[in-house]
Amino acid sequence: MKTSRYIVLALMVIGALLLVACGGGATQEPAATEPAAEPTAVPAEPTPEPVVEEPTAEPVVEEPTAEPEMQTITIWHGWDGAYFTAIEEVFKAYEEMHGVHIELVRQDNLSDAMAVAVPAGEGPDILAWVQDQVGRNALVGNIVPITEWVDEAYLNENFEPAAANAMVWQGDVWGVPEAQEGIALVYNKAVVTEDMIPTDPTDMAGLLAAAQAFREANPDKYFLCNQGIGATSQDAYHVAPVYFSFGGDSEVGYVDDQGNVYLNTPERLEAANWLVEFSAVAPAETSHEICNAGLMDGTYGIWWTGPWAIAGLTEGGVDFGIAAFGRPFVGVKLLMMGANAVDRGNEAAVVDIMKYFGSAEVQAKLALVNGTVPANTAALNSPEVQAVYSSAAFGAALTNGIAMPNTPFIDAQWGPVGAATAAIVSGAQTPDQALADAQAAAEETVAGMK
Amino acid sequence: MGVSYRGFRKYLLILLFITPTILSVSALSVYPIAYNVYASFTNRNTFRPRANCEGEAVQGEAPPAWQTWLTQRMEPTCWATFAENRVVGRGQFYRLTESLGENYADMTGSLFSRESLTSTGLLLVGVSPLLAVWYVRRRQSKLLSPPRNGWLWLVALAVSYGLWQVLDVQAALTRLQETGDFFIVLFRTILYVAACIPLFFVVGLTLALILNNEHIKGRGFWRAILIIPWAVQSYIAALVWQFFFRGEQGTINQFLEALGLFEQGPTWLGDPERPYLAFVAVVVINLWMTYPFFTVVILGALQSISQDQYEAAEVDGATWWDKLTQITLPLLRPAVLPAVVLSSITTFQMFNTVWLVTQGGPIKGAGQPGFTEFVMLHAYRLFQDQNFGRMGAFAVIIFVMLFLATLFSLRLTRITKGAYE
Amino acid sequence: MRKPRRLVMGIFYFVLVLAVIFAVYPIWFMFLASIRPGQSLVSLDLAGMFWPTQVTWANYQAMLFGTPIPGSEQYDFFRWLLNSLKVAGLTTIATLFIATSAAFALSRFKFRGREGLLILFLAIQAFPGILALIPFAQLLTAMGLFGSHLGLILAYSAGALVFNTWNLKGYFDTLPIELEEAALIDGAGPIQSFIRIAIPLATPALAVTAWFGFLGGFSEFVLASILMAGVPSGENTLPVALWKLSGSQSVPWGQFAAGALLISIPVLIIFFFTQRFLVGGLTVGGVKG
Repeated sequence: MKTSRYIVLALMVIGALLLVACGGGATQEPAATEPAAEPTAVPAEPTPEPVVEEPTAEPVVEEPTAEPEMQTITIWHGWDGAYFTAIEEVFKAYEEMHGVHIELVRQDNLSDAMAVAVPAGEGPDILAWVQDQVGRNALVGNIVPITEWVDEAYLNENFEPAAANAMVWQGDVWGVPEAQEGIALVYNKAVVTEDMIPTDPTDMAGLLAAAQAFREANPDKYFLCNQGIGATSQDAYHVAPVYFSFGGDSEVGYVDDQGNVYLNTPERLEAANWLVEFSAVAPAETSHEICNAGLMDGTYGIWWTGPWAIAGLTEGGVDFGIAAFGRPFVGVKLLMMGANAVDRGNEAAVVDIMKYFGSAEVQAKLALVNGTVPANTAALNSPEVQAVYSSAAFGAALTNGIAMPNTPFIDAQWGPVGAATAAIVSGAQTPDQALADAQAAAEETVAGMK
Repeated sequence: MGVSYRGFRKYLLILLFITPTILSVSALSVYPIAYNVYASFTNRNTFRPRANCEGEAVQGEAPPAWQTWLTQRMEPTCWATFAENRVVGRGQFYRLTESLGENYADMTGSLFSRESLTSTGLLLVGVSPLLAVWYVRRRQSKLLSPPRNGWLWLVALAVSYGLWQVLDVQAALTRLQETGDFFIVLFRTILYVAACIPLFFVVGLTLALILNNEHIKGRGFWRAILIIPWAVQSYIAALVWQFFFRGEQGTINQFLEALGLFEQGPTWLGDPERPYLAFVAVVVINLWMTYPFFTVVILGALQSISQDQYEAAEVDGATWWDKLTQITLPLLRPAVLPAVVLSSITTFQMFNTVWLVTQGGPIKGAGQPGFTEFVMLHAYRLFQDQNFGRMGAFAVIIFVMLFLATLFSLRLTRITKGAYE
Repeated sequence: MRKPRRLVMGIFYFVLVLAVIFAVYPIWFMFLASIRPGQSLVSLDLAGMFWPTQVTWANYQAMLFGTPIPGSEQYDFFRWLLNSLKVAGLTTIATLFIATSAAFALSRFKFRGREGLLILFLAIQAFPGILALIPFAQLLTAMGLFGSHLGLILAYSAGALVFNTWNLKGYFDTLPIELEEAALIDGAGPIQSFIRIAIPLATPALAVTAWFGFLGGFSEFVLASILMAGVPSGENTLPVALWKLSGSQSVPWGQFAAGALLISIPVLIIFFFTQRFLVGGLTVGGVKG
């Protein structure tokens, strides 16, 4: 008698736990295949929340037809710290002008988050990313083309050629460009003077000679820190200006739109031999943190890096200069339209926001605050922006740059180039061996994609 | 058992106790595993990301009905819940591969060819004397007075060495390495697990034994301090440790150089001539992250050992070593084995920490696995081309191997047995 | 317990001090990074690796109160902390209840399929879950749990259950069965003997289980960032929210370090106050043989 009461009691406890654990959602059949009669994107009831919170906290998909509330446009982005602050203000101004609400959400793992959220109808209206993501996301269907509203003529008219080209893939326009990014020589004026850096931005031999002379004069210091050049670095992006600055097939980068690989060419071999000589007078191991710390405490004279490093250096009180050098990989940041924007009927608002954000006024304003390099031609050439030191200096570096391709084949290059560079610098392989292996590995990856 | 319940009521009781676990574990785990198995038979990749939910014809040829049936159930984007927002991209439909095991064959290379199976056989024969001795001693340890025959190990070692030479096991090993990256990566991963787990256990046991000694002052303080690494996010900790092991700038080398031990310390993480240095580094880092867990588990387990048993042993004149090996270790076994087995699995599947610290390096060159490229890092590198079919096959292979190894270790340790048997 | 000789005690303390240096120095290094101006994780100067040269509290300020932006309501450290505590706390409670009862049954009862169950759990653990992350998240989403804390709790509990069930079962196995048998002879039912005898004896293992569940839920990042991808900022858990505050490309290491240390403080406080449960069990219960 007594024990059966315990059984009932325990059953109740466990039943309650099960309810907590599975909530109301477990009743939905995950593998149901019959067409749903009613929309299933939104959980029918708010799920029970054990801790008291406002009911508005639950994510709710905006119903575009039930219009009395304000239209909400969600932007997923990777904008950071101080840079983001200025962007937030720009969108705030738009909200006030047009009476829409813009929700800015920063994402870490954009591709995984998209894979889960877009089919659920919880994806963003606008996706702010870099152009190398265009191809892959267009194939999956995470983003939709905006050719209907923004044509190539509009892009060519308003934006720098590299940025305009980066928006087009398979004959369609997939986004509106924001800013361009690439790397240049950022030097600590207390350690290195401008005249030590060769004036011709493709004078790689001159750069090597300068590094050797500097090392000889300062045995406890290094001339240049590049986080892509080190025995433990596998970073095809930061080492790109070295590979691209010896002429030849440089125009196409490492891999082109058709999946052809250009790693084992005479020019690349020349670059690899340069790496061998250079690494003798460079820090053996490098990384973002090491270069940053070394530049700040004066151990390293130059850091081959991009605009993102500037905020930290300013905060750390370093007196630095920026010199264009080599042919960097140019990334173009852009806004793309998420597939869910179409389901929500938000296309028009999305395109308007994209155009607003790419406009000369907005981009000039952002450049003034953030020191970015606007993709908008008028903004880039405006006297105010040219007066911003880092915008002008990085802008000069990008004019020599190679645009990153926007095809998915681009994924085939990073691993092999990074590994080959590490093997060259650490001495694990000779340059020709390393490049031949990299060529083979990249071609194999491309073949796997086709 | 001695409980008064029989039949129906007993089973009701058991059901009551275990149903919640079964439900929550299987609901969320079985489907992802099934999905992976399904994906491992498809040719899905970046250019073929779409699920053919409606069985549409591709190049005038519709997939068989059973394939569509399968796709509709396995592929989440085909589920009714997601129908409304189904995305349609520029990509092609994926389908099942031409030959069923295509992705599996791609992953294993020639590991299962006759030649490499022979080599594996030779390898097993080479170590068989050691296994035999181990088995015999294990059987004997159940006797009331086990004979002292540690010298058997020496004999086995000698026989093993002899076999090694006669059968030319070295050559077999080389042949196996030539079967492809998979074997090399697997071998190094096993080595990593074999280096990590005993170290975790020894460090955890040492600290737990000291912290369990009631004559140590401020045990609460020591316990709380030593647990700290468990509470810190591994992401940033891994990068801090990476810096400690830097050759030129790192703390360890600078410290050693300041003490005058080295002129210039080793390049721990990037020396292709001495790759074991990077191996040591990732073992030490993993130790830092995991020893608190072992300490806590062992400390908890020590509580179930009664002091009386030690006191009785002391009366018999037992040394501390006797007490450790005859009382502590055997009694710890059931409570510590789960931690050992499960952290062997997690170490085998280690990705984040090693990736952040070495990225698989020291690098030998493009297309070859780096020296610390363990299975999950290898997987990551392989799937930069987003080949989901091969990714699935890889996951299934790892799963089957790990599971067999675990089953084998369970048979040996008998931890699935209940307390009443 | 007899007090060991002084030399032995000396060795014990020496080992403890060594272990503490090993455990704490990386944390100290992180702390130095968090108070160093210029967002630099490392110092190349040997002295700077051990002692602060310049001190700024700006990173802690930024993490706790956010950078003051007019009209911005994105910063709410304590709400995120509360979210994390809620998710981790409920995960802990759920795993404790579910795993304890299952482990007890698996240890104390003999029934068909028991070994099979234990092996099934292990098999699940042997699957490289990271490769199945997306279908797992999609399953939760299909259950209507996208963007809700409940989904996270469910995911974390499922992740922690396998180890906890096994671990508790192992511990129950070490407890002398005679105590429960004595209770049964005194007329108690199996549930009573479970609650009155086994649970108090198993306190140390329960403490391990609880911490395992709590830590799994409190500092987890990957699942939280995917399953809570589109939610308003106020719903985020602490690790995700602090990551969103800091930059990705500019890598503000000072803020990362400050955030990591802030996240671990609640864990340490909870650990400090609950660690006495780790020692207990047999000796506390006063049931010496």
